[in-house]
Amino acid sequence: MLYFIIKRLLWLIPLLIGATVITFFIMNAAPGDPITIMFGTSVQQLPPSEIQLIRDKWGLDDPAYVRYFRYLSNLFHGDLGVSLTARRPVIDMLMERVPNTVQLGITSIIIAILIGIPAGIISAVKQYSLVDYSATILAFVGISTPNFWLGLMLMWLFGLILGWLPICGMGHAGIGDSLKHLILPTVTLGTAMTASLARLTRSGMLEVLREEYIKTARAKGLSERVVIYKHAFRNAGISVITMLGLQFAALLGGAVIVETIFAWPGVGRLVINAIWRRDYFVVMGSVLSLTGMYVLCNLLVDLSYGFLDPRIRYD
Amino acid sequence: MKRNLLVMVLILALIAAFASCALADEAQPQYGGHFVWSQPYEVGTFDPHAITDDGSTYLAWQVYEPLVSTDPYFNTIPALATSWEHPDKETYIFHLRHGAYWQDGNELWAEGEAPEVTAEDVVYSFKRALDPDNVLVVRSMVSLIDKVEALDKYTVRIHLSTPDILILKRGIPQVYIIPEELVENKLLMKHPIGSGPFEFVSYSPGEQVVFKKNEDYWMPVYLDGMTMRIIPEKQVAVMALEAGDIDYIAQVSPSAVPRLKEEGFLMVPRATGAYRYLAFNVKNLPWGNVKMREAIAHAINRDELIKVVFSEVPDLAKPAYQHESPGWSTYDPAMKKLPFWSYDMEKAKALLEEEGWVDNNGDGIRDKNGQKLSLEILTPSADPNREKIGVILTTKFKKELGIDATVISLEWGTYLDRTQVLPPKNDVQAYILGGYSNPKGLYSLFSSKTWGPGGNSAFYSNPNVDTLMESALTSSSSAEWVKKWKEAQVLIYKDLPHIPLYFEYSQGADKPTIHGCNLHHYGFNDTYRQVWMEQK
Repeated sequence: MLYFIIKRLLWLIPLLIGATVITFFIMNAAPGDPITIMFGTSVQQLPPSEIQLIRDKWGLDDPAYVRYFRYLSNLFHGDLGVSLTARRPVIDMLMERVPNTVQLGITSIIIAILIGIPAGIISAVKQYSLVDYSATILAFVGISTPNFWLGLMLMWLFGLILGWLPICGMGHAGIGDSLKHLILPTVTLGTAMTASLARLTRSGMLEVLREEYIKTARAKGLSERVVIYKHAFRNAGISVITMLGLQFAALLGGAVIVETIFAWPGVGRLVINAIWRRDYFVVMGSVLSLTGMYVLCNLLVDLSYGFLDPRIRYD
Repeated sequence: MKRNLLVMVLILALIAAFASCALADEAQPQYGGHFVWSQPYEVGTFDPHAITDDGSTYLAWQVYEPLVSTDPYFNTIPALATSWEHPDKETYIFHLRHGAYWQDGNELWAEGEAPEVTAEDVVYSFKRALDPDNVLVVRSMVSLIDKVEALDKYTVRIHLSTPDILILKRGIPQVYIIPEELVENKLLMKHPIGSGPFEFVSYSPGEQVVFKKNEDYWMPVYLDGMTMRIIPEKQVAVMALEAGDIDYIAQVSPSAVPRLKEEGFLMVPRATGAYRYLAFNVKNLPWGNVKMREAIAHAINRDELIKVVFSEVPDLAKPAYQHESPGWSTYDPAMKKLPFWSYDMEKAKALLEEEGWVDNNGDGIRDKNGQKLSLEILTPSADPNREKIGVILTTKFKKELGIDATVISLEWGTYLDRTQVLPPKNDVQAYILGGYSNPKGLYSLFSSKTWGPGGNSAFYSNPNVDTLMESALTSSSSAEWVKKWKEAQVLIYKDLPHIPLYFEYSQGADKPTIHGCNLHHYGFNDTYRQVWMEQK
């Protein structure tokens, strides 16, 4: 198992390098110059010689491959560069924001698991019942509803009309206040994943419940709870957990919108602003952190297979 | 006699009683309260000399102070300097306020131990801003300054390499005075410390900045403290105001204004308008021909445009016929009467026909020598109003003038890439933009020396205009500058590199219990020192 984990972590290196290559060259190919964007109307008051001095200082006119290898070399020394606009180390900016996105993401996944999987199981066990139909309709609504619309509606209903929850922000007046602020963005972000998990769990369970070994388990006199959770779900769970890992990427993408609507200070908002401002190092650093999160999440998914299916070992 | 005296005393007493009641009804500022307000921009930097974004400007305005500032009409007003002299065109002498102290009770200075702000601090701040090795944005605004020296503890002399009558309106007000110790102790990017009305308390990245009152500020500060919330979505900020989470929004989306008014919130209008315009690349034919641009000018009905685009709140925009905003000393009401501002479609058609553009093949689009008359208008995607205007204008030009007109909305960086390329490579025909709403904006937009990034993207060039504006900038008096600036405006608009469309008056909104909010010329309130909250 340890060998497996180390091997996967080592694979992270070429994966991250690949991500940097793609991101770097896309950003450089995109139109727009960071100096013009940053200085705005003031740029024409600077003599061309001074603008060139700034460009030389930041190496903006070096060939793209020179700048890329310089970045890579610094990266291997743990230096993610300095933001062109904020003049602060990118690593500091990421350390401020990544935990907020992780908090939002993990909470959304937990909600998705706690609601989506049981809903899928109940739907499968009580197939074609009122519960099944209701869960199916809710799942389709959840998958189809754009999260920016959902977020605004939840904000309007629970924040403005009912006044039960804060409209936006993170909350700093204690754990209770922080949790209250977490509810709406988490529900918004987790709804689509919850719905997908419910549908996937349902179809996986339906397939497994028809297997002979399930009939055998029931014939042996095992309780229905043991049959469903210990035998059926553990077999259906592999595909569910796999989908969870793959959906995490969509969750990170959705986090950008949810963070903007709810004024949640995460890495999604940071990268959007950095893209508009052509702040290359912040974009690169953000992509690296998001890629890293995605890969680690999928590593955890792979490790969980061993718990679900004892036949799977990573020796 | 005694009875008459008694009656007079009674009458006087009644008058005094009514007078005191009347005075009591006028709202008097009250001390106390924590003010929570929102604006949509992230704080990019704590360094007031490196500001490139509006969020950082908001922060700097509360914590730091410049030598002088400007009121909403760009009149220079005292700040750290109480008075100034202008002995010759290149020299300014500032007399600093006595008793202005740096903020204390922080990592630099213990409570009661902060020193006074002196001329040496001013010299340091300007030298830091001007040092090319520091690569600070503010340098571009004061690059004409070639010497800053302290004459004594409270007197600073600033010398320019070239005269600039506008340096007190734009330039010196943008250089915030900072303590050298803040930079030496590497605290500038961690804990801003200035001499302004509010002290920095904490920053939650991307979320909020908390301030507290500077107890030693040289003017009364009514609030105990305030929190600046960063809420990117304007509709969400409106909901937060309605829910009572915040007290004031610095920029309200127009669609929310009628609802907020109905609910009893107060609108805080901007004092002066922001210039919005349709510009042409005058180096590219056929729109490089002034007659063609005149045809377009006659085809624009500003009142109708404003009515459609700002239907929810028509007060948000007023027709524009020049760059200089109403309320500025350089605003010229006579500009409205220039002949090509009249809405006259027949005149527009006649002008196009005079230039040989007629619909020869009956497809509804004018042509000449086999070439269709086309007009591509670019606009940055960030402002939905400009996109709407682009759609309205191009539809009208196509339908009523027979021009194959299209509007293309581009992301900001992409837009800049296309519009800033110098001729002859620049293929842009026209664009809708705004901004440059400052005293030097006319020069930035129309001088032949400002072609390219951040400046004259119409590539307009008129030696008479250049001479007049350069002469205006080196005027020895404001009156002379105003006169020449107005003359330059007339010459510029006769050449029609721009067709002014409207002045936009953005609005803030606050609870009725909040007083003293006002919008500065960029749509911001420069500082909240005058804001007060009704106490329960």
